[in-house]
Amino acid sequence: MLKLNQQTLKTLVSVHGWSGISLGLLLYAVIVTGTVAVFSEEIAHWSVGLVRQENPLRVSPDANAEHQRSLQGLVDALAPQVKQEYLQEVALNGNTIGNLIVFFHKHQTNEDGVVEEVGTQFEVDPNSGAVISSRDGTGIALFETDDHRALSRFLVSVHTELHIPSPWGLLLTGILGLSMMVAAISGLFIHRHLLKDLFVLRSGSGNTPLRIKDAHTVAASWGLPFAVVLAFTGSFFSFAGSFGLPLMAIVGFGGDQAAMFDVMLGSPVPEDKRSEAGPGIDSIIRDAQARTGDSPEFLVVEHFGRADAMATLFMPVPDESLVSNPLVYAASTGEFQRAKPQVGQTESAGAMLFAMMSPLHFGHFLGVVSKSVWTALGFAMCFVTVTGMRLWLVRREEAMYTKPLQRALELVVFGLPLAMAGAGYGFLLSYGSGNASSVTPWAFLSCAGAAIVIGFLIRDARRLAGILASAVGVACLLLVPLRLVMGGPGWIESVLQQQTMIVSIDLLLLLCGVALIARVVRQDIRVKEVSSRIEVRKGQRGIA
Amino acid sequence: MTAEVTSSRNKSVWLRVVLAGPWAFFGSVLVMCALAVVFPPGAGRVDNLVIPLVLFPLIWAVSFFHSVLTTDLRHAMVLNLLIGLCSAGILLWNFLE
Repeated sequence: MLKLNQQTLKTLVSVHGWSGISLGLLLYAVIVTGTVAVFSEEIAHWSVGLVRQENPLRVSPDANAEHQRSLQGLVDALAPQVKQEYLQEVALNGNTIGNLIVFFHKHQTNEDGVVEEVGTQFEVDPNSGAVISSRDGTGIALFETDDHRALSRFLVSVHTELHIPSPWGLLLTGILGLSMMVAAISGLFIHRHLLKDLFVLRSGSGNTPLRIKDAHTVAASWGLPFAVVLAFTGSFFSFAGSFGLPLMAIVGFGGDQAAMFDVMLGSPVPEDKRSEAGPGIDSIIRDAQARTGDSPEFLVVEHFGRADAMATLFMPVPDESLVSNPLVYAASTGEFQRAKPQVGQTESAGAMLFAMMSPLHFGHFLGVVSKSVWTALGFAMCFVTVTGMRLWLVRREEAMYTKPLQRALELVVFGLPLAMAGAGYGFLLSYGSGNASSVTPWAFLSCAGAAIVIGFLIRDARRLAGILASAVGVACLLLVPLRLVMGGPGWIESVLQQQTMIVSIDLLLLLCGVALIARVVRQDIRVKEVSSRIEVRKGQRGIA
Repeated sequence: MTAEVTSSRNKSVWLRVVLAGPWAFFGSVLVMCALAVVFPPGAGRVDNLVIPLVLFPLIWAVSFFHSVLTTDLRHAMVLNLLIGLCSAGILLWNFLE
């Protein structure tokens, strides 16, 4: 039991309540979307249907194997088709549907002083080598208009920036992270019987303050360390991205972001502009595969085709590790140089701290297992946020602001998942038309708008919650047949192709749909029972 | 007398809100920037950039909770002012150098 004096305790309770109620709705939005975004990669695969399982950057271990396609040959064939200035650097990776992406680009500082990549991107069939499409633009613009990822990218962008333009969205989510940290730390001190609180759930029904408090306390006690870690790492990502890195560039490099990134990411080598073909990308990948037993997820060659060319290979995280250090090769000789930390020249405390941030926030270090744990704890955090706000409002039932706030709470709690499901409908209906990147956000906003209109029309918070929850349930149930109607693979086909994630997400959607509708039906029955009991009592009093 | 007490209490509430709100944020940004100057870059040459960035939420949390929970607001104000001035001085020295 943590002992605090009465005044401190009172202040902490007040801070806990206000930190939750002032930004709770936005915080809920960030946590819900974050909980879903943990599986963004899987959602991307689910949304586009069957994808190639093989990594397009994988090469045969035998250099002399027959029918061996050459990545270097592919890159060499594409290079003459792009502007000379874009040959500064080439990046290769697989996209959502398993095609090979080859992006020739240069680095430039835009008018806002931000370093960006500009170039030509090819989408290539990895087996035939046929070019499927080519596009010009900045790296960010090309990423933001990649239709294959439109749904998962949109959900992630709502989580990281609430879909508000940069840097304001990041700044806001950073502040939300800080408010979550305040709520979690103050909660740690005010829930004085922390160990006992892990198991206390008193019986009762309905939204009684005691029942809501128990539910809030139990979920919060279990998820407390997780909440602190998520709030801390989340605010780090938001603030570092919005103003932290630009400030570091001003303090350390006179505002020159390119110089800062050279120190943080690069390993500048003496310039040597002579042309040098080298042994090729394939032999470098072959060496990396032999060293790590895995193929790279992303590969970038700086100073492409020159004697000072450097290849950096970003490998998947090994089973026994939390992070994966990129492998650096001298591309002109194919010689392995070193495994470099994610930031900096060599291993250091800063590099280690930085490397820990991603696995702690995204929970992807043990694949689906750790992601599932992160998602479950994320749901617990959603529950804590909602029950915390409900508790705050139930305790102020007489106040004039309570009823509108209760409606606003139910509107966001169920309206946001409805809008997210709406984004799924938008994506499935527009994928393949070339407009998925613009239709998906519009579908989200349209559903959010419809939920707001319903919120204005229905004055009773409980009824509003029931209607919106039913709508979310039905939307989840119908997403699965829509995916199938739009040409998505069936369950048997998915299992045969070893893409069980498609079936898992379908089942999860069906389960959510059934659970939500069952909840609404159960609550309706309970309300009817209570009202009939009241009627009976009234009748008995009348007879007496 | 009662009005005076209420007015003084209101003032201290506002002072606390300013200290825990905007000052805690901008003060933490100042401290983060100053740490980037004084922190050794380390073997990887990035410790001075990364560690202050990672520490920022913690610096803010300490500053926020201190301002909220302190019983001596005057002491908190002086402490915050001193930390702010030190950080600003370090940054000024860095830019003038």
